[in-house]
Amino acid sequence: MSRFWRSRPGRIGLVTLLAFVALALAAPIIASRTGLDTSLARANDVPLYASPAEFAPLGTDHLRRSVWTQFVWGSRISLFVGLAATVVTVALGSLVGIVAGFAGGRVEAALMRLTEWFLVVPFLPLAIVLASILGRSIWNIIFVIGVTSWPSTARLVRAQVLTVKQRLFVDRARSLGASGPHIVRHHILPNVSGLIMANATLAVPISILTESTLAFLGLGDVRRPSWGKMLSEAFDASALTRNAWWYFVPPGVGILVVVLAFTLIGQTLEEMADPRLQGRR
Amino acid sequence: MTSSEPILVLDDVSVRYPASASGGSSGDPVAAVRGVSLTLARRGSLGLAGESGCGKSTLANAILRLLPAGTTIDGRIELGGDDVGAMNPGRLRAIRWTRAAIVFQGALHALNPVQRILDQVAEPMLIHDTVPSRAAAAERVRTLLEQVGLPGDRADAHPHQLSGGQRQRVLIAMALACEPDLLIADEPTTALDVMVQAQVLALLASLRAERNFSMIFITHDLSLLADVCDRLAVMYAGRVVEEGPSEQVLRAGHHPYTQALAAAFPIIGDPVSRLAPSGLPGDPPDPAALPTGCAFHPRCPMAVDRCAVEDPVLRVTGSERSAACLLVGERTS
Repeated sequence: MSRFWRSRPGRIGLVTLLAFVALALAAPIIASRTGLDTSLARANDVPLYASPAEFAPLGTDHLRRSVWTQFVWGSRISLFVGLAATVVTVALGSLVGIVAGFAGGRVEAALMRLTEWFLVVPFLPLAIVLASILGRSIWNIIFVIGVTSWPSTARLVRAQVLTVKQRLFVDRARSLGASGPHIVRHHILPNVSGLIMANATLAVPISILTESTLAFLGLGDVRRPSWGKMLSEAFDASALTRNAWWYFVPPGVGILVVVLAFTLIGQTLEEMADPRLQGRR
Repeated sequence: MTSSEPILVLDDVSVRYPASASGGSSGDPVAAVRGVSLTLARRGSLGLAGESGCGKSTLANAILRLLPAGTTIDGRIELGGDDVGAMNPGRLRAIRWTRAAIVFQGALHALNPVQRILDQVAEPMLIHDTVPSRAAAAERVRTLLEQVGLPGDRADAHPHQLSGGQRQRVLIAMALACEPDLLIADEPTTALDVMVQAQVLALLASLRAERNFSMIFITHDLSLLADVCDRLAVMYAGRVVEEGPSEQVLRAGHHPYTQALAAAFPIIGDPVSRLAPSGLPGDPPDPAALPTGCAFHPRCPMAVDRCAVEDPVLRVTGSERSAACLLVGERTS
């Protein structure tokens, strides 16, 4: 952990991410959910498309809802779905990739055919079918994203395992008397973890965006705002042509900054896993 | 060397690789080692010499059954009195590194780039539970590193922070971690410059004097072997073609191949060898398509008609010496 902290990009990424996590956790304190109540807003004469100057801190949208409240509560869904779906994707993909790459033979053939099968299934139709069978909840969104995006991770990890497996130090470990699981844990995994980390940091933004895609298609949980849902509603309501920048900039910048934070963290973790990268850049 | 029981006995050992692994599209398995019988006395040292592809490393890896899946090993390999071929996988793992350890060639690639030296040298001890705790292992790693001439604090370095010679020393330290009876050094000095080479050889010699392990030293550089090994076996196309005390084999080889190998290294200060450097024309044969008769006859300067028909066997050609050449009896006696 102290090694992580010594790296400036890692520090910046972690602090940024923790700030957003704090924002998400503090949502009930800093942004009352009453800001989402359109009838209450109408009763209180809150204007439509109020700019931040008229309605602090971030103005209102086309339904008189507070953008700030949506942004804060939306960060909860976006962060949670992004992280949870990434964990599912990366865990499943790495497991399949490592087992297939290391075991070889029939196990590999079977696992890779399965992976290919999932890879050719078109994502959106499957997501729609799964979401309509399983019902609308963020858990189903996480499940759908995880189940449809692990194959590319699996193929990537398997390819890396295949090259690492050929390296002499794996033969050396075997001649030391090491068992298969020992070799995977001590020699294969540390050498593919950089790739897995890099892959995970890429999976987070994709998961956040996929969540917004599904929310946009009406497969998300309608009662809960997310950054993706804010963006698609702003798009629907022509916020751009009305010059209501306060509507789409916060969720857009939110996604950008969170993705950047994850990239910085991933880069630092990759450097820690592979000491040869230290001091480069 | 009057030890009771030899540390290693190879009896008619053959190793065949599956055809697909050796690059051929189909067909019969390819024999990389063909009927090798060797004995290594306890505390003895044996040099294995020969060109690339003659089966030296395959033979060394066969001792611990480290060959790729699908490879068949025939014959009997006895390591410290136990038949390696009859062991189950668990028993095999248990004797790897504790009975025989390998110093690999290419020290950079034999070390895991993402692990510290400490963890890698400690790995065999932790796998085989030869140390009571991680702290004890770390302590022993520092001792081992100092014994191979590295500062103990290098244990915290990563492989890329060490020089080639230092990495080779790390591999030697790792090989000694479990106090093996037999050390197999597979071209440990090939990638090093001459000065470092000499240091590593001196280190191996002094460690051997200290700890009394037996050693198999594999190289294509005959000049190294005379200093390091008591006995020398020269391999060609998967067979031992000559075996004997290393000084004698080097200075007066019985087999024409040994003579050609020895002559390929010029003697510094000797004008004859400098003015008339002698090499051996041609390449070693493809193990999938060996010549008939003696495998060496197409390149042999002394070959006669008989050599293309008759396959010579290894036979005694002198005191403690043997060679596999049809002509050898005629020339030595």
